Amino acid sequence: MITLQVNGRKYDVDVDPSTPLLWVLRDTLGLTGTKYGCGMAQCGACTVHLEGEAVRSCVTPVSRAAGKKITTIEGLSANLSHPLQRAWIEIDVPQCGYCQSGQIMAAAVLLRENARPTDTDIDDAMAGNICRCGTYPRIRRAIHRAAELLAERGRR
Amino acid sequence: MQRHEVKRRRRWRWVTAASLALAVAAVVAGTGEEPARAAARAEEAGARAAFGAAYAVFMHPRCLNCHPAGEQPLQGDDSRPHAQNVQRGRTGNGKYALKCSNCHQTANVAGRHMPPGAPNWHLPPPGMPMVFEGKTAGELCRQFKDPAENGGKTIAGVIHHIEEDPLVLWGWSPGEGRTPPPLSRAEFVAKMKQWADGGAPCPE
Amino acid sequence: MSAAKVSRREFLRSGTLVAGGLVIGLRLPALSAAEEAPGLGAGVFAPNGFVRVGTDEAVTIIVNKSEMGQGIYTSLPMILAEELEADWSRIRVEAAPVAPEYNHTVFGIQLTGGSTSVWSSFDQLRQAGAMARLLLVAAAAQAWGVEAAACRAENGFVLHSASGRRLSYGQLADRASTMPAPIEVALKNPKDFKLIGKPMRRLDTPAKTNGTAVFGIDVKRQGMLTAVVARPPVFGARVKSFDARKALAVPGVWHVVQIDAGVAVVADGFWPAKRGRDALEIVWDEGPLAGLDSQAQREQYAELAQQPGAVARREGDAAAAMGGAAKRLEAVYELPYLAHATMEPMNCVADVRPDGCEVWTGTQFQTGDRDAAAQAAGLPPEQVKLHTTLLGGGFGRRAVFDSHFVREAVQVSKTVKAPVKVVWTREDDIRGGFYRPAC
Repeated sequence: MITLQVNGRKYDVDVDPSTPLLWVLRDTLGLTGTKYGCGMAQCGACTVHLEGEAVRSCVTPVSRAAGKKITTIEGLSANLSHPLQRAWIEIDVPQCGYCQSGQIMAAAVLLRENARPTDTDIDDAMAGNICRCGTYPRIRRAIHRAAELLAERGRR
Repeated sequence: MQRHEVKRRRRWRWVTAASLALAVAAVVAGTGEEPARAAARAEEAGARAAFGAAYAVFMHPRCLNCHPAGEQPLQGDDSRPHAQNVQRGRTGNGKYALKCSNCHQTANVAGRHMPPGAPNWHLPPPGMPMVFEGKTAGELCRQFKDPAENGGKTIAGVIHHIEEDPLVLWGWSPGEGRTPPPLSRAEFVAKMKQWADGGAPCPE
Repeated sequence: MSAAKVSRREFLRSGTLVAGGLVIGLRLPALSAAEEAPGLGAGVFAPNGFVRVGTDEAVTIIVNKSEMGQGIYTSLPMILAEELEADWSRIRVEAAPVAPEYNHTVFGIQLTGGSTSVWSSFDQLRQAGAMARLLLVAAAAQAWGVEAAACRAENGFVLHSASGRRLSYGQLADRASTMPAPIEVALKNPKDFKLIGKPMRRLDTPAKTNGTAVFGIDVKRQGMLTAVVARPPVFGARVKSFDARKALAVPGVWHVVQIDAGVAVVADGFWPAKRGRDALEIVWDEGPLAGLDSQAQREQYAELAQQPGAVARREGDAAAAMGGAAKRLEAVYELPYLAHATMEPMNCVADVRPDGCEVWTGTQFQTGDRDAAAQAAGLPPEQVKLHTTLLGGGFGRRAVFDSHFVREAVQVSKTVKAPVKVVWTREDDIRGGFYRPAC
């Protein structure tokens, strides 16, 4: 049994410890917001937070996550209130939407570590997340917008 | 392409230096110098040659890729820039959503083209980047010996690092699709010890 | 006001308009138990196959085109809602089932592709919206005992200006269901458009920002197993023999079955299925294409390009013009075979039972896939229910003439007698998927 702490909830899972976290989230826990894209840490669709870091769950053995804090897109906010989600909706970022969970989870780490990112900072943070539809210009705009929303929230 | 040419030139330079040292040793021997002094000179020459042999390991992609001249790690046997615009970051552990351990686990992920892994996968920090890429054997040697550049290590500390650090050891079990360095780990450690024991002399 | 005539027969075919009662079921989507919306039964006004208005004020627009990122789950509802004078904040979208009334108005089959969706659906959806509006207005007029001409629809309400009364579409839904079908509908003058031609936010964005959007790969069914298939190393290769022992030894693996596509390993989830798949020992008969290589193919194309080709259009005397030209430019254009590389790897869920088959997948080609599923299941097409999910990218990869990704899921489910989700790995699709044509 491996105990996982996902989005503030505890789960005991009976899986092989080498199973990638991605498949435990999706197939065992039913949290399908985190996506399978490549299975080799090349596309970013499977990005979740492990102790706050944007890990690629497709290559992360579940044993590494045991007892640690995991946040998936479903746990980013209860009601789409996270500044990134608000900005994503305001700018209408997604097209097919398949990569967007990973994009948002990656961007969340960027904003935590750099509340006013420049375009270069965004490139440095986001180049590991592929979007086949090519929503990159809107992702960039939405991250800038989320930074503003964050600043507004800070002022209040 | 350019980098390979540079490397070749430097290797040649080292070979020249080593031959010179040996020649000097021979000449000294011929003059009937005191045997102990001659032995010491020979030992130093041997130590220098040992570093030269180990240099080929440092310049191998398994070692060089994480000791780049720029802010981006390299990858693959062709030492191309790391995919996904990965950066060294403030601590050498990557940047923002692209930190080394976001993909690199404490062990290789099985399979071709999967991320390699070892405990504490990282680059040297920006304050002490320990660059291998583009360095001659002499430059690299002096860098190793300089506490200001080697993380405040003694020579013994340097040897301990290359002998024990899991990230260094990973070079000899790099996982599918990656070639190991040209010397075995034992040969490499022996050469570096010979270098240290011979007074850690640096090639020109 | 321009008026478009819609024959009664056409509406009967495409709608549920039967006077004298709330006619649910006749033309309503054939829903699975999981998808059956609460409240769908009484209190729903469903004048045609494209729109339902509930007493809860929800306006559900049934979209017969696949959402793969192009925004069709927003643009088609805009067209219908424009004529309906609906409250845009009440719009819900539902994927259409497979039925003739949802066929492409030009192609005659249910398909999304070729950048044809908006223009080919435009008139149809305007009429569907206008017809619903007309019935809601008629219902209000009847309720108030006034002339319909004295009433107008606006933002989800019917208003009677003279008396200042108004009724919401939800309040009118029951009565509207009893109104007789119109023979013709009046369409809005384009200068009065409030939605069409205006930048609108996409309706699917919130679900695509919190992980609730359901793509084919996200579908869950009770008792569902997951399969990963060992696919041919060469196009056209066939399985000669295989040894499943190592695959079956992987914990979580339940079945190893041979299908047309190769050998499927069926397990509790993707990971054991993939591990099992990788442990299979298969001897392939690589067939006549084993020697095929890109270089030889390119040379063959280059050679063929020297031969006279089919004439697409003839105008003037090109040969003479070329012969007499002062300057001649030559260029060679080559296009390699390329994987479409949809962000969402290919997948399909199938549940084959003796009396029917259900399929859930992100597809661009419902008619073909439904028919292929029926054939593979050995059932008549009417007994196949195909549910279109969101597509994590289409690019034509999900509109394939042989419906192979659906067919194989049906084969596996039929063999193991359980709902099965077949998932392609990324490598499966890059190595041996359905490529873009080369030239």
